[in-house]
Amino acid sequence: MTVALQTEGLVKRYGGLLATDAVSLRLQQGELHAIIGPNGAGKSTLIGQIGGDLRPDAGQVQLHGEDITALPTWQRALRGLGRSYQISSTFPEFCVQDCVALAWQAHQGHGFGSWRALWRRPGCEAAVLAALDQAHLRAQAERPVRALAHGQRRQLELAMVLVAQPRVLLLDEPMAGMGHAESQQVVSLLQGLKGRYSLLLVEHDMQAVFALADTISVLVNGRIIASGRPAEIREDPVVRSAYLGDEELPA
Amino acid sequence: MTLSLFFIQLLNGLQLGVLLFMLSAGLTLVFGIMNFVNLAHGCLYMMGAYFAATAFAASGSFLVAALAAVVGGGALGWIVERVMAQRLYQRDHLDQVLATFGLILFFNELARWVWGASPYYMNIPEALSGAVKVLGVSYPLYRFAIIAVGLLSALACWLLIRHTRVGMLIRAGSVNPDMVSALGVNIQRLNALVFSLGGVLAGVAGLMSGPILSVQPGMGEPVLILVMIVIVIGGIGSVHGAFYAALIVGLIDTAGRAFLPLLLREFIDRSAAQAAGPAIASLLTCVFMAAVLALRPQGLFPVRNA
Amino acid sequence: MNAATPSLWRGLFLVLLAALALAPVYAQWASEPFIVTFLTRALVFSLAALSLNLILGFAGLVSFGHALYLGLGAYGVGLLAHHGVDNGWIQLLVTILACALVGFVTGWVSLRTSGISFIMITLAFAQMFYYLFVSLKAYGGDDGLSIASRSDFGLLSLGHAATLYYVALACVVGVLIWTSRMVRAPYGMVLQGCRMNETRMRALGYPTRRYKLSAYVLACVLAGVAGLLYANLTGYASPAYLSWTVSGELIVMVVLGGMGTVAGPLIGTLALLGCEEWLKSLTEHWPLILGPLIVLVVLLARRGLLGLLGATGEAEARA
Repeated sequence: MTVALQTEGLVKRYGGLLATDAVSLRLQQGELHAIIGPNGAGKSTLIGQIGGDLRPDAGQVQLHGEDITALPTWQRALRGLGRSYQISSTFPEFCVQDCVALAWQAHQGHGFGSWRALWRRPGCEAAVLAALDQAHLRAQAERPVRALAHGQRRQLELAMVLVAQPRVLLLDEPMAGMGHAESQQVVSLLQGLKGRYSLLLVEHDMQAVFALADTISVLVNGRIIASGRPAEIREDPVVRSAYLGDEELPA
Repeated sequence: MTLSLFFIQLLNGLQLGVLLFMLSAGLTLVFGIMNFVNLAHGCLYMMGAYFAATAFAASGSFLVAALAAVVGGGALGWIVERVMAQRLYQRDHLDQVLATFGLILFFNELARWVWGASPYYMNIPEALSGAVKVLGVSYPLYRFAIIAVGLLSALACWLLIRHTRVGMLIRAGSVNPDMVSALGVNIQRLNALVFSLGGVLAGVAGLMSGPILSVQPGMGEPVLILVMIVIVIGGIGSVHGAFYAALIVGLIDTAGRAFLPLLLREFIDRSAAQAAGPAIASLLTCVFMAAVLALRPQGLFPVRNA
Repeated sequence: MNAATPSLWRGLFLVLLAALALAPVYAQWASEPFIVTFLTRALVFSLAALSLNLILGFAGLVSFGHALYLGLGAYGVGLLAHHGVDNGWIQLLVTILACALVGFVTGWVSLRTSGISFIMITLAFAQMFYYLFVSLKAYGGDDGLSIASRSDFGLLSLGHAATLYYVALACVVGVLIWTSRMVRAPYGMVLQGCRMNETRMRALGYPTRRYKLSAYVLACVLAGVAGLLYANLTGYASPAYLSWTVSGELIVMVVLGGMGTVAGPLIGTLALLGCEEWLKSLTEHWPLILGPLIVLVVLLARRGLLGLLGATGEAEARA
């Protein structure tokens, strides 16, 4: 089993606060590795360092064996690292298919073409509509982003990540604020992605996490206190005490 | 180049520096607390000068002129804030630039209409005329007065900001504006007060500048550029930064104007050097600002985080 | 709010262009040469506004020093003409190279900042060059440099009013055509994406700074061409061309017309300059009216004239 993504001893300090404390984790190829933890555990900081928004003070991030720690965000994206955001981060003035088309264009070489419309570029329409189908957003293709409901914006987030067919997906709470039915859709979507893609998922929705994850790592106060198969994590006393009063782990 | 010439330029630099401080203090607070780009600050300076000059001409009393400048500047600051600025705090900087740009057009033309396009002269008050001997050098008493007023206003600012409740709110506002309003402080009144304070200081600067510069429409803009340079170098939102930066810029600008022509005369003819000198001095201050922005964007003396 | 279709607006715009094309003919017939002078000035500034729209409207970069390149273009003509070179092609080449070089350097430095700092640093660069030209007594200094001979392009000489007019019009139309294609092409979409959400663009894999810098340099070169035309119109190159009031007016033109639209800069420039002329005829104190008018536009009509008319093209079908 090859390792799609791994971090070695990542450390991030904010003044006196140790936000990330020697975090080492491995995402196996084709797996879904979930990161859970109470609020303030440092999940966003960790994702930020893997994605490239934040520079770690120490440690390494490796993508398919290549050290990407010093690479800026955009170069990581071009090497196959896709990222979705906890708070929908799209292009308010565009319509849905424009957002996805722009996400597609990033991997088509340079974007300096000024004459032919983006939508008319060979392969664009097909790729965009396929990604929208995957994210169950095809019907909204021509609607302006501003008119979308919250759940639909989360779906757009996913479509924008999927269209580029990244090898590794970094998903930051994709189901945040979704209703039950929508969450189920996302769960089955992610289930379908496993195998072809490698996914690192940060989520609070425990049902989804235990349904999807091959490996779970528990992050508390910037440290991984436990990491393993879902069944092991469920039984782990250290994990249970960390979550006591915080969230209930599904039986 | 004699020691006395050097000393005189030092004093001139100090004089320009404190004038720049009086203008920068209010503007840097408006930038820092309300995140508002106020290009119309130079107008407050100009109107302060006009109020003072008019009052002085009418009454012959410098004290009356001072009152006119202070009250006029403060009131104008309050009005600008209430009528226009407060509607633009949540907007883009672009919107603020445009709106205050419109204000500049308005105020300059207002001055031209009411007072005419030619410079309006204000005499140095009797009590402050003449020269004083300091360290063997003869220096105009009025310019000393400017330095004194400037340093006093810096002291007053320091006392206000460090030792009063309002000052504490202002300091908190420059570090974390959202928190201050969340704490239930009447943020609208605080904002209007900050704007007024800036207006008062600008008015005083206008008052003191009246006798030594010509009061004319458009006099605010060249100074405003220099003030923005001071604010950027000092650190946006930082009043103590504005103080040090104002002195630095004042000294560099004055020294440049005084000594660059002498230096350039070695290479080019006298009249060309005379023209080029001041321009290159101004050019250097711009280069200084660009360098600070590129290398240390938070400024040389940034606001200290709580 | 708006019942007119996009094709109606397009039709109206073509009528406007036709009117502009026929204006010199009309002016000749009505013996009103002022119309040509005024419209040439409007077209030159439209070109500069169109170039600013590229970085301000599309990429979202608030440059408060764009007049610098207008000035560089004018001085390119002035300095070369002063030394006896009135070949238009050489002047054009020098202008393009100078603006590209200065634009690249200032752009590279400025794009390391953002927000208020970006506004200030672009202003600082414009001021630097303003003072530079003021300091050069040999080339007129504060008074400016008069240009004896106009640019000669071989077949065309810009000394002829009608020729200058049609060259300016051709430039404007050319840029309009290119912009209208670019808006829906990858380059335009990328720039707009950078304006809307730069963080996301970088996460998608775009080296955003590269795109912004390229747009900046392009805008500088176009503004330089506008400056070249302006110098031919006025017969003059002056430091005043680089002043921040000119930079401010350019921003007003872009925003007044409708930021980020294709035709906005042309509409905005015609509106602003037309408004100025009209107000000047009413009173000599016209800035007293124009100033508050600008404030009102900012407060109430932020999306500009095209925004008010609902003609921004946002609702157009994707094609």
